[in-house]
Amino acid sequence: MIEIQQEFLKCMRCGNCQAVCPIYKETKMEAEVARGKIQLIKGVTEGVLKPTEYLAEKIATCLTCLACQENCPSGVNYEKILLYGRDYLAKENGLPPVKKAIFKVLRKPRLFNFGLKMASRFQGLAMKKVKGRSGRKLRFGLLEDHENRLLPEFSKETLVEKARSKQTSGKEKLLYFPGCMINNVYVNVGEAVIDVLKHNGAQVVVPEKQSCCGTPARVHGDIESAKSLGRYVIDTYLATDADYVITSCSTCGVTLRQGYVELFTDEPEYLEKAKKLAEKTRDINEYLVEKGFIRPKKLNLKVTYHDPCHLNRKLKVNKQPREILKAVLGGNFREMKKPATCCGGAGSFSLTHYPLSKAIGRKKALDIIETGAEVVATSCPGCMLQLNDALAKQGSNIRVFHVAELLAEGYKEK
Amino acid sequence: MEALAKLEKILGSAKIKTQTEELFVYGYDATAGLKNQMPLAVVFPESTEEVVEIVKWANEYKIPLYPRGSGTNLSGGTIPAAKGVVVELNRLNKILEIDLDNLTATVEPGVIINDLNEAVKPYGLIYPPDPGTVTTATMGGSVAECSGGLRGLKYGVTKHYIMGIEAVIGTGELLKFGGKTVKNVTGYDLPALMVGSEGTLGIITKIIVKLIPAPVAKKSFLAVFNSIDDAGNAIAEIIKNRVIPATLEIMDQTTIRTVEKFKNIGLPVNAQAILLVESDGYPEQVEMEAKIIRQVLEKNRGEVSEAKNDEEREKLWEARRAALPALAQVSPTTVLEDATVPRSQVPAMLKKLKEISEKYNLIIGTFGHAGDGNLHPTILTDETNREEWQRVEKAVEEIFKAALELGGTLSGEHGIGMAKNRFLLWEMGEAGVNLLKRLKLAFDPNNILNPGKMA
Ligand SMILES: Cc1cc2nc3c(=O)[nH]c(=O)nc-3n(C[C@H](O)[C@H](O)[C@H](O)COP(=O)(O)OP(=O)(O)OC[C@H]3O[C@@H](n4cnc5c(N)ncnc54)[C@H](O)[C@@H]3O)c2cc1C
Ligand code: SF4
Ligand code: SF4
Repeated sequence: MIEIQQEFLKCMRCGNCQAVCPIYKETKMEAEVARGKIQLIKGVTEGVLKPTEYLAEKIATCLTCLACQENCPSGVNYEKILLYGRDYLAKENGLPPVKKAIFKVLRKPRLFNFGLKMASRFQGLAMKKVKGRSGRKLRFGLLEDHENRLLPEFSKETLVEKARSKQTSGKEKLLYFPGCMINNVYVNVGEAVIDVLKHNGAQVVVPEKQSCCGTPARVHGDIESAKSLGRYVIDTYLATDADYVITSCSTCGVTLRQGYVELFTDEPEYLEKAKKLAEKTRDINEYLVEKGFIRPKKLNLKVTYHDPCHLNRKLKVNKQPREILKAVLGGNFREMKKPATCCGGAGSFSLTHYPLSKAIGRKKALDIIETGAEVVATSCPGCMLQLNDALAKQGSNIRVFHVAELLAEGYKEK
Repeated sequence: MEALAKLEKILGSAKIKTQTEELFVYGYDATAGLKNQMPLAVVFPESTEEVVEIVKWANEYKIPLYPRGSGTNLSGGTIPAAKGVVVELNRLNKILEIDLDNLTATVEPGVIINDLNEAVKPYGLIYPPDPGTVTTATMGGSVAECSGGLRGLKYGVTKHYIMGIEAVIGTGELLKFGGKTVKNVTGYDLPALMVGSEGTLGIITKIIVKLIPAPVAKKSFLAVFNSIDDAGNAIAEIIKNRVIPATLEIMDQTTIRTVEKFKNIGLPVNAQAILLVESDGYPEQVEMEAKIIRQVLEKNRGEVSEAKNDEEREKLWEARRAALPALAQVSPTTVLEDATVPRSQVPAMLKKLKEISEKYNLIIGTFGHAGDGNLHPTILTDETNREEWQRVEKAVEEIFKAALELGGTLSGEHGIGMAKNRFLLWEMGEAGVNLLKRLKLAFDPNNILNPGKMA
């Protein structure tokens, strides 16, 4: 409590966060920029404000892109305040019923995977295929204004299933943590990651026991669900003596590298394990550059790169993907205007706040289109989903790939 | 409340907020140590006509209005002192015209200063006023505060760039002051009166500003001094030599040490002061000025380094830009003042600040626009420490007394607002304050606009 009060006081209310907050740029509402949210959270914890649903909604209106934190002259740890606030409100108010139900499923890895599997079987009922784009549109609006939303297809076979046939031996033993999106949806990204690592002489294993990393639950204040998932992941991934654990999703990467250590501060046993896991974990871009990857053949494609917020701001992985892309593309790599601004996806934010998410995505899409690129690369499946939708909305045929997919292509080129 | 229901009818429900959570965040601005005071409502007009309607409504019900831009002011200027309605102008944010023949721009008040600069950049033009908050502050707010910034010495401050203003005065009448002509002596200088009026005379709805050609060349120096006097003499001598740099900034030892602690950029922690000097303009002129600047700095025992390219210039500026952020990280509360003295008195003021910091046992880091005498003594404290806060208040008083004694002013660029009300008499005298009040009544007979500020 004292610690968080110190954090509140650090905010000198200068308003600098307004300049970089994608939400404030759209809504121009003080309650929706970091300065406002910090004051609201301070107010509610001090008892000046009541923990109303309205307040919870204001606190929910945030991409957790952390642009504000990066730009804050006083060094306010905004993320810490936000998570504290959400946790506090979740305890006071309880979670909204829909989220509660979702997190309940999330907590049970097997049930969760079964659910996603079912989704892949039945998606045809609710979604129709879109010609010329990889993805489907919702046939009818499940949620307000989602009618024309472009969603990716669930894969019939998960990555875990596909990876069984791909296992080989190699000099370094790597465990790959695909995360929900890649295991179930962007399976080709996962395959590309495995191919790339194998091409570089490593042995890659994808453990059969998969689950969500727990971040969606954590950022919405459901700490218990997050912890239960965390323990599962930690135990699964520490069970073998792999040299590294590889991630290819911005969110999962940050969770394995930093999130669990923060989450288990009050559980010494798991804190120790979390630290061990953190030491072993590398984002795919990071790992490849650290080890010195085999140079690919050049692809003749114009490509730009979108920085996933957390990979860039929390893990500071931003040079590595560019190094890889330049190796694959040479002079064909081109930067967009502000590659590090949030695409507006932000995980479940795009479900709960679709109109706002769409407006933010639109700006990103326009920046991408302006570069004249044929492909936008990124390092996070969540961003891929959002970018695909945003570009489709602009009638653009720019394609979206993970950096690993382009590198894998470069290795295939004769 | 009936009055609010009526206001909602006038504006439509999307442009008015009355939920506690929304009101709470309009109860503060960037000023340290002032209490959060919630308004009755916040309104978001999207046209001049709506502003007129709002002011008329306020007159009918005698409810105060508090104009607001981005709320980054440092004088309590936007805090709703009595129960009233905050008029948030950030949705009036169109650049209406860039007139390349007359070198003017016409903007709505909610345009962010930096956005105007980005818009005129392709034409080789700039709008020079650049407060530390250029990327967030609005044009309306900066006109109402007459903001300054780093380029004040050579290029002046907001008031030197305002040619015309459209505003709704306190009666609800829409007026136009000035225009696009370079010269204008019709009647009193009313645009000038609106500049720095802190939202007490009218709500500004349109602004015509002067643009100037962007300088094509730049040279930047950093000079390290082992005595404050040497640094002070260097400042005075540069100007005596008929050189007006674009920027002439100072950082004192406390600031240097703090910046070094947080940034590790290799600043000399034993130095008493650092000066940052930048000359800009045409290449030949910059060459000539740079020579003189270097000579003067060296003659006064400054250890000079010069930026050889943009990258090195960025490095020099990093130190200055880090000043406030670094100071802000030392302690929970950062009290940023802007006592201003004639530039010849900068060394005397710096000495005085040192005495005050020792007397009240407070950490005061001083940096600022030495070239124009505008210093930012920054007190590092913790507002929850009552005993220390009392010392801070006393120190602040003494800082202003000292500035006035040296022929200076209470505020160089941050305005009076609520924070410095109590010192106004010291500088203006009773007759002066009374005249302010009568002027206010002429514009705003019912005292609707931003009551409780400035006088
Ligand atoms: C870190 C930091 C650094 C700063 N650096 C500088 C600096 O270098 N130089 C400087 O001069 N200032 C500086 N400031 C102060 C402040 O940023 C400026 O005064 C800025 O111009 C205020 O703009 P705003 O849009 O935030 O106005 P607000 O704070 O919203 O309002 C300021 C005043 O203007 C009135 N107002 C706002 N809009 C209108 C309108 N349309 N019509 C009538 N009245 C209106 C308000 O009632 C209030 O009195 C700094 C502040 C901070 C926090
Ligand atoms: S930038 Fe930092 S200190 Fe300034 S208002 Fe935002 S959170 Fe507070
Ligand atoms: S995290 Fe992003 S969206 Fe949230 S307040 Fe900060 S800048 Fe805005």
